[in-house]
Amino acid sequence: MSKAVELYGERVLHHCASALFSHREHLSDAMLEVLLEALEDVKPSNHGSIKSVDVGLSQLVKMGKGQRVSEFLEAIFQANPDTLSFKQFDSVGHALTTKDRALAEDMAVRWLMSGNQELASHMSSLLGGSAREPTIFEVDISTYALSDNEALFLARKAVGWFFFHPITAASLIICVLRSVKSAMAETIGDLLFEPLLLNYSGELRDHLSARVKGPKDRAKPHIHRAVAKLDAYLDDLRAVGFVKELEPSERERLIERKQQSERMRQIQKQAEQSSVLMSLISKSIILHGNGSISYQRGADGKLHRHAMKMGGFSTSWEAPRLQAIDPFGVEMQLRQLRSESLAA
Amino acid sequence: MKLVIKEYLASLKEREELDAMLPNLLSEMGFTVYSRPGRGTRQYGVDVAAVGTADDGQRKIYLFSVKQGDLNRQDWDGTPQALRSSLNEIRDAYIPTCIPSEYQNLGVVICLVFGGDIKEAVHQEVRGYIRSNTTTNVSYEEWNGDRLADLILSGILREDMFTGDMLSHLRKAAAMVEEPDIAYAHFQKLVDAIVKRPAKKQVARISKAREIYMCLWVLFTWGREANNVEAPYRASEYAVLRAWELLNGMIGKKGREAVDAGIVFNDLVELHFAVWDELASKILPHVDKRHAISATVPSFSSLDINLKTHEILGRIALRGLWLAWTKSQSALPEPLETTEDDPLHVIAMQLFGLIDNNPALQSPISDEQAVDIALALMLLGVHGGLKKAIGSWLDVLVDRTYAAYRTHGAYPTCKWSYWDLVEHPTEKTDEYRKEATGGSTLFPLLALWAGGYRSGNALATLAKFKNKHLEHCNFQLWFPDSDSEAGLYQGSDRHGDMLSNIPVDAEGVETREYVDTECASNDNFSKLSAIQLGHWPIVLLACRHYRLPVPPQIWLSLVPCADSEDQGT
Repeated sequence: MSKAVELYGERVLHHCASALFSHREHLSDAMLEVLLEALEDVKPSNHGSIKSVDVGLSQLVKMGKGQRVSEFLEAIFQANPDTLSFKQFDSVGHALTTKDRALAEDMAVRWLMSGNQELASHMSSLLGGSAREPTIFEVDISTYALSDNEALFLARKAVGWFFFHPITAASLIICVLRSVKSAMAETIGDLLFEPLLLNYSGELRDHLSARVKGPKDRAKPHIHRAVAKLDAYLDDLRAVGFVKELEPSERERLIERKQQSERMRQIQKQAEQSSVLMSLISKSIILHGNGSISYQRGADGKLHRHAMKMGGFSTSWEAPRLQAIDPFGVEMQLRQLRSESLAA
Repeated sequence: MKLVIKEYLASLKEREELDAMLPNLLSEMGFTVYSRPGRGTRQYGVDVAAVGTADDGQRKIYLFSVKQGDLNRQDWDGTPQALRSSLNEIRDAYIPTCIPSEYQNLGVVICLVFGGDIKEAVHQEVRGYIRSNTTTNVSYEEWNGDRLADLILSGILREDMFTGDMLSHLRKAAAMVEEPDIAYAHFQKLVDAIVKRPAKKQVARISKAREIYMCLWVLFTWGREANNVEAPYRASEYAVLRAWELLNGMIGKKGREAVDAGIVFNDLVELHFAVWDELASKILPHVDKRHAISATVPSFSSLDINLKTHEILGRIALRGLWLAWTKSQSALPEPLETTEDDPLHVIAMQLFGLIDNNPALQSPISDEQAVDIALALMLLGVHGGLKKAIGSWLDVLVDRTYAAYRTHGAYPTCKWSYWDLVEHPTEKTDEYRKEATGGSTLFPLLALWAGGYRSGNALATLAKFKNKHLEHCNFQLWFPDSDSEAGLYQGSDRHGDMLSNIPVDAEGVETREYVDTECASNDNFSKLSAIQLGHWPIVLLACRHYRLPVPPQIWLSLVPCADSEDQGT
């Protein structure tokens, strides 16, 4: 196959991708292996080939060949660190998270343990990067036979890479805690409080409190301890009360609001530019009221009334507390957690 | 205006407030106050004693017994602290034994002073008491809130001196006390108008200081009522500084005016402390709790938290340095020995707690915050037992600042308008970084302290930082010049010199030598009235209030030389 690629270049790879896309069910394991090996060299700029590979891989996941898909993705992502991600491989990403969660979690553990920042980043965007329900790990970490240091390493990576998806991070830490018996469990359990609960005292606290009340779990004492620490911390914060003297001035509030609204405007603009939906529809601004009425002349020459009632939608996101209190500290901590290597 | 004054009088507490205001009011009315309230117990029921001319033209002794707010049944009778008991004590003990011999022949007027009114229920009893105890030599007067307000408006704030404009500014300052910027701006205009009014005689300057004192009281009580003393705090700093400008020519001299000037100035400083105490009661109990002060800043913006925590840092440090001043006899700050229950030790530990628990204080965002950091370092240095704390804070400050610079994070910029800071860093480019760090007073300050406190890491990092990244940055420190005495206390920005191009070396020797050389040859600092008269906290107050870098002459005595035996360990 490599000879063919050498001779005929990308065209061959495109045919391979098409074969994977169209005939995957009829391919023998040996042939599949040949194709996948060749397709590791597909160029990221060949969008058509990449899309075919993506769909083909997603079907392979459904056919129970996820392990091989995982190896393929690992290889192609590492070969193209700045250009390929689950953004291009969204179909296989979707298949992994919906059809083979166990495999997705296994990939996450292995990719985080690899210490490779690119792979960990891809996993972070796959398992944390949408507005869906948070991913909750259920993986049995004992099957990996990790040493204490390796368990701590995995837990710290979970915090580093899933920091902005705290329930996901906490669930992976809890999985780790179930497999650690030594005093290291306490160190790992501390990560639940700091930095996770310290930053996210809303949904994460509710989630962890529910786990404390839930079925028997070896990690429960650690969860309980972390929640108790958070409650003590919050009690201290609440004890201060409202200190009017610390309020920014009216002028400062105005400037900050203006700056904030400018930031939001830019984000909205960027989102609209990259939105598929916005490119399909036309935009019309309604200045007052809760609905829109318009008339269009039909084929019969008469005006037909079109009425549309407006709906509303909202989404919420909990910002990490320390982003305001110590933004530099948070940034440094994340850099450290993400980049650190496993000590020998 | 009378309503504003009455509201103020009604909210005054008896101890250290109404009785502290009264002597100033009496002095301005021409009375000679011979006994003022001291801390501790009253003298046989008398809070203030004075000699003055009564309505009938006779000189008489006035003995004042003070109660706060309205006079109700409980305040009048039934407890040892009640007014009736005090009046009995005056009649039975004070008049026979305590009147100075030179006033023995004068008639006595016993004044019942309270900030509010007599409640109807006790009115008859009070009148009855007065009737049955009035003699040819002893009479009684009620000085209620209404009368006190009239006396203030016809005395300290009398119309010919205290013009309509001034009244308007005072009214607006009080009304806008919940918008501190606006309230402070009005108070500032009010004080400026008082100070600018022509006054050749010394006694007129003292009167001006009393006016400022009274106006500050009014603003403070309104702020306290609104549970927001931000404007009164800033106003109290300004009031002390302008009063110093008015009175420093008299302080330390001999004669009645000098004594009166000293008393008024002391009252103003005490009032500044009272305002601070009110603010501190909300802050200090929580400084040892993690993130508690940062989280209390009602804003999601890290900039607001950064600015407010540094502001609080500077205020706590300054209050601690006032305590050090009262404890020390030295002309400049010096390391002092402290015990566990020493207020200086307590406040220094609270300051350290604030730094430790609020990480914004390890990441200054504006060079202007060098003022607050300098004051904090001074308080920790004055304490004498916190050398390790100084070293570790310096290490963290320098490490984080250097890392922030390298990663285009929120490193300290020489820009200081809120507009600039809210967007800082606007760009992650070398060009912007160069522009944002054109000059620095923070880095030489840190270098000198790091050199003195053996914070080797900080010093080495700073030297590397300067050599690798900040070649373009002018490291500088502020020194007073010959115009500073005229400009420092009123906040002029047209005085002082910057010592530029300060070198930073990994041993700290070169830096120290460079700055020491200028200190030795520049005598403008020692010519400042606040320094000549031994009131060095006034210079620090001016620096904090007007955001001027703290001159090194005032803190270098706390920093051992880099090569000395006495270095911090």
